[in-house]
Order: sequence, then structure tokens, then C-alpha cells
Amino acid sequence: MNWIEIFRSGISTGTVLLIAAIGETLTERSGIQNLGVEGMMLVGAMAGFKIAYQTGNVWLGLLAAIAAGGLLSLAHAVVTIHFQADQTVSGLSLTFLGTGLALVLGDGLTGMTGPVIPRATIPLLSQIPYLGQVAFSDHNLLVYFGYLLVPLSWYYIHKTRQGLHLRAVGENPAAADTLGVNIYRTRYLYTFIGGCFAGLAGAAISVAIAPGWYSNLTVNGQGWIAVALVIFAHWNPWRVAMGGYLFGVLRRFTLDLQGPRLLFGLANPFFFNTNLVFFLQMAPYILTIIALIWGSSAARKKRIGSPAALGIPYQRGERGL
Amino acid sequence: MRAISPIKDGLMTFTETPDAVPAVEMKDIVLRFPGVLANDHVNFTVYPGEIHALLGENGAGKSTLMNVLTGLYKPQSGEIRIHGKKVSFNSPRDAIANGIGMVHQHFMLVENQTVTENILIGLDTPRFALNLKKFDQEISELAEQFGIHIDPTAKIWQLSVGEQQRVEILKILYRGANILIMDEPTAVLAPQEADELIETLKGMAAQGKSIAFISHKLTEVKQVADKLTVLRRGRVTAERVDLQDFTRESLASLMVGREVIFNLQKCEQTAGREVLRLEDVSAVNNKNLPALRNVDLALHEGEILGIAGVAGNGQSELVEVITGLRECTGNIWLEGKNIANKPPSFSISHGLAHIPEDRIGVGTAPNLSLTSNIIMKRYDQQPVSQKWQLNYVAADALAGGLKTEYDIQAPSVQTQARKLSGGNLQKLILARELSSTPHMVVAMQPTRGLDVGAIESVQQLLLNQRAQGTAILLVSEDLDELLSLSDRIAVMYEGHIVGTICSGDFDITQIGLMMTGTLPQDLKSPSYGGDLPPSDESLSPSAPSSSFDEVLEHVQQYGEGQSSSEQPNAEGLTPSEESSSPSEKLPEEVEQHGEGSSASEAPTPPEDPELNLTEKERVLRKVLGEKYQLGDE
Amino acid sequence: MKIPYPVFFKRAEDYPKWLPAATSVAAVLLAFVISGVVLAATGADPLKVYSYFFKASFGSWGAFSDVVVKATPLLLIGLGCSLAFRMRLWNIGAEGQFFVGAFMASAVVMVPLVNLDTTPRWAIISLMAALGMLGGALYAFIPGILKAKLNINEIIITLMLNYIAVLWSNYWIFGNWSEAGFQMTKTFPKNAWLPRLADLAAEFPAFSGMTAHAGILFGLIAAVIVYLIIYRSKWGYKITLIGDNPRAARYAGINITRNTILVFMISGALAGLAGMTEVSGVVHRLQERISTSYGFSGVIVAWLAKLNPFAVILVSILFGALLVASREIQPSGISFLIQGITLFLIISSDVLLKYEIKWVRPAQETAQ
Repeated sequence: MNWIEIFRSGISTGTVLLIAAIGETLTERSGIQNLGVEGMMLVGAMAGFKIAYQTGNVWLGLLAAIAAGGLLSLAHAVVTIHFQADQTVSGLSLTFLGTGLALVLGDGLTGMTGPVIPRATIPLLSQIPYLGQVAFSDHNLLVYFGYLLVPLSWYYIHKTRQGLHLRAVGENPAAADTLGVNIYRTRYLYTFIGGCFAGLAGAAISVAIAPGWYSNLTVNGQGWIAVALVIFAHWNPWRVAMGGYLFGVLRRFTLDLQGPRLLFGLANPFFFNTNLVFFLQMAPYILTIIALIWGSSAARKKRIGSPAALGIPYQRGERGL
Repeated sequence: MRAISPIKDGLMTFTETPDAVPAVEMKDIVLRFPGVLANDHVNFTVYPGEIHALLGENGAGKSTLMNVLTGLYKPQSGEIRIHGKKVSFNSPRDAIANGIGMVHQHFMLVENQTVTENILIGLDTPRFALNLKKFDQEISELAEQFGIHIDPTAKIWQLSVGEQQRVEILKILYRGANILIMDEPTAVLAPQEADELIETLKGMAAQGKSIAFISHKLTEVKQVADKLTVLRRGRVTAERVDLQDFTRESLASLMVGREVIFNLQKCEQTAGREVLRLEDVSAVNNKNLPALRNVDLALHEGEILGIAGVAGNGQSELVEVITGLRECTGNIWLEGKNIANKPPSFSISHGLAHIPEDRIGVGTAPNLSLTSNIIMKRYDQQPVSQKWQLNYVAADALAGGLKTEYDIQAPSVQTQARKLSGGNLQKLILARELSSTPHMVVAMQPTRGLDVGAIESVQQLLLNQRAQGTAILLVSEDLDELLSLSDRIAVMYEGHIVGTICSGDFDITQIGLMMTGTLPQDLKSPSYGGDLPPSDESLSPSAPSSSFDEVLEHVQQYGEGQSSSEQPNAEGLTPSEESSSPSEKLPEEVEQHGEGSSASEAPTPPEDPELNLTEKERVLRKVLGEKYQLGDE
Repeated sequence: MKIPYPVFFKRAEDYPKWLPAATSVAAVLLAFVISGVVLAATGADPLKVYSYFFKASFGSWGAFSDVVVKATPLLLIGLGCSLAFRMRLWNIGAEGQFFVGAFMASAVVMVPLVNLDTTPRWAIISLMAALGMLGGALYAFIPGILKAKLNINEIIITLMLNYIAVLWSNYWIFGNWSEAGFQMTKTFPKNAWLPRLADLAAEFPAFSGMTAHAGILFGLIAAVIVYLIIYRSKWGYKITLIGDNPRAARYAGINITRNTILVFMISGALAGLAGMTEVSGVVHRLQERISTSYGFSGVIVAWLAKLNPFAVILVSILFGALLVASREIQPSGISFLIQGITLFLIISSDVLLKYEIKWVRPAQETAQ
């Protein structure tokens, strides 16, 4: 098994997850839970591919994807922030909505080839033995974007005034409100940003990492895995990245298990029985479940919880005390 | 022009002259919510250096009015002038920019952030990057300036309630507030901490700050305020009055609109057999910190045991372990059955009724009907239950009967619970719990947030239960309520039962000290009731009230105790022990009074008609507050 | 931003009884309109498409029979979801429970678990139904216990389990149970088929060719049972209480853990039964594509019916029609789009039930 290839592939797949998950982290830190990520990724993948295919310009496609994800998330924002509807159900409905939109508007694009985001190799860093080959050589530009996104988002959340406000709104919106922070505007903003990231992540699949449009198989559950990743990583961008890359590596690893004839000296069952590949394909989903279980009990021990106001609509009290 | 009166008792007082400019002038404020007229042409004026109390019962509109002043709500009509300048606030930021700051009753703090971070929220600086160290320094300096002790790098959840309140004060001082609004600030403090806060406020007023003080505690208002405005149902019923013109009863009438008699008939009662016993019960709270430590308690038929203590010292956890909502070690015997660590259904089936602290979040199901809420614990009993079915007709009949009996105001039994007012919601809960003829009732904060009329009803219902022989465990933040209802009071501090006192020996100072951790045996007082009376002994007061001389004696002891180092002083702490607990403040206070009383003027309002009190009487008045009747010896 | 907002939301005193139904109907109609706009954007003619919809689903008795076939799994799943949602348990795993139920029912024939030649038809079918329900229930036990004991988000768990169930089923279809290398099992023998209307063609010639099967009877019986549970039984009261305020339910002594698991399992059992009816009554085999996203549509059905069992019957017929008609429409995702928009509109319209909206223009903000 080619470990270099496994890690490289893991980083690529992980980038998709981490872009979507960091977007969702920002949204959830402000107190809004957006379960429509899968739908937004799908609509972003479709928009990205379609615009890129029709205009021949892949960057326009990216822009279209970001806009698509953002617009869809605004629907979620209005319903949950202004109308104070249940965030869980609204997010779900947006998944259906996004999937429906993507399927209808993406009709006829299946199997087409479109332009792709270029790849690049970072000059000095790619010379580092082993790590250079894995992480800095011949990767899609979006992968490098992912590398930058992680420390930037961590810095933003924890070390800036805006990040302080973001965290306050998610923990105790009433406190922030009385100090003049606009709760509604903050939540709208970060829900929109989260949606934009989700759209970008979708486009990362269709015009970069796994180019093409294959209707709803394009995303195939990665949006949900991204949401689970946010919980598992305790709303921390570094842990999101670690989790995302780890996930990608494990996924590729399990698929590669089919390759060799011998595994640890014994006959490789996956090589000899091709139908066992279905169990390998189950791996990402089983891993997500395990990650969620582990994450919740670890959180219990460390007394780390979700942002305290997550999922609770904010309403300035009608009556004083 | 501000006229400055001669210095009195170390305080400068600013008085109004014809051309003095008020710091705050609210005129004709009208604030309307859909269906509710919260403020009806309200006037409110505060001069610089003045402490102005805003009095009214819950729902009268005082907090709403202050929320208008802080820019949270915009009034439909009316005018606001700050230092003579007309202003219009569109958001809290505008109010903050005009020097207005509010300390809320429920603290607005982000628990898992530090003091400094909390203070910085909402500010426009720094532009982007957050350099916490620099701000930590700034805030330390600001705190020192006002004599406030706090560690800026501490996280909020690590601080005590009193310290958290200080953070709230720092928050508004940091923003340059000249007009401070305090919303029920002493609700969460022990009596000694409350006194300390009042001193801090008086100090700020002396420096020219204007203070609006919202309260519904009549005693406190008389203690601290210069002027008073009373609100009732959104209207002003008394504006800028001087306090000494009113007695407690007349103030209450202004608040409520009818005559209020502060007198509950509690008959003498013989305690019966033991109903509940806690043996060595310990438990942790939600943060895994110890909340109950080796608690021993007993409760008898026909007895009300009051649990006193500042919120957060284990009372909630105590109620939860008894009602089966929390795990614990140790035993809890309810009429011979061990209910510790058993689910709530077990204790409910053995006759335990529970009136929860949170009537909306725990006590009722908001979207279900009155009927559904009433049958919450008896869906398994006749006549409501019919094998696997629920007989809704019978349930409605049952609910209808209880609705009439307990006078629950609602359109019908089908009305959803969330449409009921606080008082009616509480009556609903009481109807449900008390109608099942329980053996024991656990009542937590049963009258919190209710208006005076509802408070009377609830308290009378509890007394009726007591007369029928039910054992009642009453947890309340309202010391007055505990004193008037309880047969015995147990005081909790940091998860311990510090001591238990029988009704004949109730002494507010003693209880106040116990609430801050003083052990009763360190107080030289006649009784501290560690052991329980044998079950057939009468609980009627047999010993005379502690004499004044004994109280004066132990009050003066603290003054001495402070000067002798290395000896454990009256609080049970050696002076070298690190503590910023309020009990340490007491000696200084007492010294002040001790000294002050030897000067020509006593620290009472200058126009006090009782100016000719002897020194003894003045100290007693200070210490016992409203409980003191002229002529007591 | 200025505050307060020019829109005042006041808690409605009470809403007229017909309002929930009206909003559901309005949502569906509006969804059709919006989807029509989207269709027009892709170049199709919405009016032609919609008139075809109507003909294809209600134009003839044969068409209606097809609608019933599609409505059957929607009904069963919708009922299961309405029970779970009443307790605020978001069972989005109906799709996976459906597959597991289909698998377990197929096992009766494929293993085989009984002698297929000698066992009477009613026995085989009963066994398949029982195992279908058991499979769905056991599969739903997983999210149930994880939620009850560890409070793990059941939405993600159930969704992951959906993918796993399909892959599991594929393993058998592509492998041991594969028929001549195709991706499906052999056709089940006749006495493992749910009876259909077409079986009665000898006595009633009009029924010939109609594939509506006995599964619909399962659904109708289930609807009555669910109704009795929720609106008449003590258990239904407990479920409603937990859904409205779990803290109050716990305070009142109700065992939330046990009820969570139980409700999840019943919801799963109904979905599993739906899977059984599909393999036994419609395709008569286990194959890869036995569900046109019934699991997700069932969620929407439950929500649109406002969790009322009898309304679920009506809505599942409606959605069945949608599925039948869109079989032959391009683009194929249109039914998904309509469903998605409908759900979104329903959620947005819930606000009308909770609040009265009052528009307050700034000029009107004067005292009366």
C-alpha cells in the first residue's frame, strides 16, 4: 500500500470536510445550528460545476458556489432568527430544499467534464522529505487554502474583538445584547458565512477534488459528516482540521485495503471477495458514529460543552422582570 | 447650580435648588407592548449625588422603565433628558455613550470567559487584535480606584456571587457611567454583603454619581434611599417622595393599591412523628464540585422547616436529592423507605409533593392544557386512568374542580399553561401538588416573582397544609418569609447545614451570620438548636427572646476580636486566613457604629423623629432593622 | 439596525381550528407555484407538467391504484415519524430502517427460514411482516439508546445508519443472494407475495392489472392504532408531555430513557414493515432500488400532516401521486424539489400559528 498516496488523498478529502466544518463552527459559535450543510454543499457543487462548465471559467464557478450556499443559508437564517422556528427542523428542510434544487437545476450535467481548479506545488516546502511530498506537492489550490484557513479562523475566534463578540453571542446573547452587540445581525452574518463555506466545500468536490457532477452522489453524506465533525472537534478549528484529515486518510486507507493480495502475511479477504468492498464503504459512516460517541463522553469528562445558547432562539424579553 | 450642604457624617449631600439640573429626567414615558401598557405616562427624575429608589411589585413596570433608560426599548412617546440635554436612544450603545449603566438582577455575564473579556464585550476598541494583558492591567487599576477587589484573569464561573456583581459594576464604570441603575441588587446577597454593597453605593453617590435603585424590599429602601418613586401597574403613584414620611404599611399600600397587613396567623402546633430524615447525604453539582456535604436533617409531621441561605449554597441540590432528581451518597428516609437515588416516581408514589423553583421550565408543560398539567402526576390513578386509556372527561372535571377551589384565573381548563400569569401558574402547581394529600411537601421559592396578593394566598395554603399535619420543607431566599412561616430554620452554607434554630429563638443577625459561614457555637447566644426536640415536645416558644444586652455584647465582641490577632475571632477564622468573605467586613462596620454612636450624631437620616434614642436603641435599630419595636428591651 | 423592529410578533391568544390545515394546504399550493417557476427556468412548461401530474395520478382507477402503491410505504413511515416527532425524537433514519426491514423479510425467503413449499401463504407473509418490524425496531434501537443514555444527536446517527443499511443490503444483493450475477435476488415464490387487487381479477375484471396490495391495509390499521395511542392512551399522554417539556416529565416521574427507546423502536418497526411490504407486495424481490427516498418523504409527510395520523393518510396519498406522476417527468428531481419547498414553507408558516403579525409603521407609534 502506498502510504504517500493514502495521506495525499486523505488531505484532499479532508480539505472538503474542513472547509464545510469550519463554516459550520462559525455558525454554531454564534448560537445557530445549521443542519442544512449537506443541501448547501450539493447546491454549491452544482452551481460551481454548472457555471464553470457553461462559462469555461472555473473561478466564476467558485464564486457562484459560494453565492449559492450563502443564499440558501439566508433562508435558514430568516426562519430561525426572525421567525424563531425550530432550528433542527429548519435545517433538515433546507437539506431537502437544497438537494431538490441541485437535482433539478443540475439536470443534464451528469458525466460532463468541466474546468478544474489548477494544482500547484509550493517551491521550498515541497523539498521537505516525505512531508513535502505528502502535503505541499501537486495539490489543488483549495488544499493550500485549507491550510491557511485553519490558523486564521482559530485566530479570529479567539484573539480578535470580533471573535470575542461571536463567542459572547453564542454563550450568553442577553449579556451581549445589553452591551450593545447586535445579536440578530451577528447571527445572520455568521449563518451566511457558514453557508458560503458550505457552498465552497461543495464546489471543492465538483471542480477540484473529485471533478464532475453525479447528482446526489456528488456529496453523498459528507455534509453530515462535516456537521458531526464540528461536534466531535468541540467547535475548535484545529481539531476540526485534524479530524477532517484523519477521516480522509482512514477513508482512503479502507478503500486501498482491497489492493494487496497479502495483508500482514495473511491472504487478504478484501482482495479475494470483491463484495466485501461494501463493508469498506461503510467505514466513514461507522467512524462518524464512533467519533460522536467518543466525543460526547470526552466532553462530559472535560466539562466542555457546546456554545451555551446553541439552538435556542433569542428574543429580547417582552416584559421586564 | 448645585448647592452643597455642610458635610454630615462624612457624606456630602447634594440637594436640589431651583436651578439644579437633574442628571436624569424622564417625562411622560409611554411604553406599550402588544397587549400590555407597561409604562403609562411615567415621570422619573434623579439628581446628581442622589440615591433614588424605584419601588413597585413585580410587573409594575420598573424594570421596563429602566430598560427604556438603558436604550433596550424605545418608548412610544415621552421625553428623556440627560443632564438637561434631550436624548433619544436607538440602542444600548447610545445609552452607554451618555453615561448610563445598569447592573441587572440576573447577571449578564458569559460564564466561561474572563472578567476582562466580559468587560470588553460591546466596545469598539481594540480594532481587531485583542491584547488581553494590557486590558487586565487597566481593569485592575480601575477596580482599585473604587475599592473593589477582583482578579481580572479569573473566569466568571470561578467567582462568588458577590464578586460577580462587582464585575457587573466594573463593567459600567469602565464605560464611564455617571448614572448607575441597580436592579434588585441585594436579592442574591446575604445581609452582611448587602450592607457592604449599600456602603459602596453611598460612596459612589458621594462622588457625584446618580444612582437609581430598583427594589421591592421595603426595609432596604428605607435604609439606603434619599428619594422614592413608586410604580403600580405602569403608573406612578408617588413621585420623588421623602422616605421618612412613610411607614412600611403605607409604602406597601402604594405598591399594591389596598391595605396590606403584615401579619400571618400561625397557630401553635405540636410536631408529630418524623417524616423525613437525611443521614450523611453528600452530592455534587452539575460542575462536579461538591454541593452537599454530610447533610443531616429531620422533618416532622405538621412542621415547616425553612432552609435559609444565599442562593448557590446547595439548596437546589438538596431539593433535587430529596425529590430523586440527583444522585447522592448517604440515606434519605421518607417514612421508613429509603428514597435516595430512586427515580422521582418512587418518592411521588410515597406521598412526596414537590413545588419546583422553576415553574415554567420544570413545573409545567407550556403548550399543554390546564387539564393536562393538573393530571401530570395522577394519570395512573382513578378516575382519570381506565386500564390503558386516559379518561379525559374525568380529567377535565377534576381540573375544573381544582380550578375553582384554588381560584386559578384562566378562560377554561383547555387553556394552554403558557398563557397563565406567574401567580396563576403557581396556583396551578399548588393545586396539583397539594390536592393529592401528600405526606410531605418540598417547596422551593414558592413566592418568588409573585405579587403581594398571590404571595399571601400561597403562604396561607402552606400554613393550611401544616395545620393538616403535612411536613413541609420550605426553601426561600426571602428571610422574612422564612421567619414568619417556619417552625424551625436550618441555615445552609457551602453545602453544610451550619445550624438549626427553633422558632422561639429566631434572630435575623444570627441567621445572617450563619448564612455566611459562622458556626453557631461561636456566637454567644442562648440556643443554636443542634439536636432535635423529642417528637412530643411542644415547639411553642418556651424561652424568652434573647435579651438586648446579650446581642449588644456579641456585637461588640467583633470589634475586640479584630484587634487580637492569631486568636480565632468570632467568625471562626483567624485573621491570617485568606478570605474576602463578607463576614470579615462586619467588625469594621461595627466599629464604625460603635464610634459613631459616641459622636454627637448617629448614622441615621438627619430628620429622624427618633433622634432622642439612646445609644443602645440606635444600635439595636441598626442591627435588627424592621424587627425592632420602640420600647423593646 | 434600528430596534425594535417594525414588525411586532405578539403571542396569539388562540388560533382558529382550521388554521393548521389551511397552512398545510397553502404550503403545498405555494410549493407547486414556486417549483413551476423553477421549472420554467429550466425550459419546461409548468402547466403542461402539472396537468400531466393530475392525469397520471387521478385520471383513472388504474392510476389511482398506482398512487396507493406508492402511498403505502409513505403512510407507514409517516405514521412512525409522527409518533417519534411528537416526542421530539428526530428519526431521519426511516430510510435505513426500511432497508433493514426489507432485508429481514427477504431473509425468510432467501435463507430460507421456513419450508417455502409446505408453509401456507398467510404464515409466510406473517413471518415476513413480523421479521420486517423486528428488523426495523432493532435498527432503531441503536439511535434510541445512544440518545437516551448519552444524549447524542440522533439526526446524525440515523443518517449515518441509513448509508450503512443500504451498503449492507448491497452486500447480499451483489453477493450471496445475487441471481445470475445481476444486482438483485431471485423473484420470490408466489406464496410470499402480498395479495394484490389484480389477484381478484377473475371475480372483478376491473381489477386486472392493479397492483395495489394488502400493505395498505397494514397502513390503515396502523393509523388507527397510532391514533388510539396518542389521543386516547395514557402512554400517549406521557409521550406528548415528554415532547413538550422533558424536564417537567422527569420531574413528574416519567422514565424518559425507557420511553425514548420504546418510541424509536416502534417508529423503526413501522418503517421496517414498510420495507417488507415493498419487497413482498411490489417488487417481489430484494434489489438495490427499492426506495425512492421513502424515508425522507415520510418525514415530510408527517410534518405536513402536523403529526395527526388521519391527516397522514391524506398526505401520503398526495405525495404518492407526486411520486407516480414524476416518474416520467424530466427533470427527475422535481418531486424532491416540491417536497423540499413544501417542508420549508410549512416550517415558515408555523410562525403564523404562534404569533399574530402586526405591522407597526413608525408614524403609528403614538400613545392612544
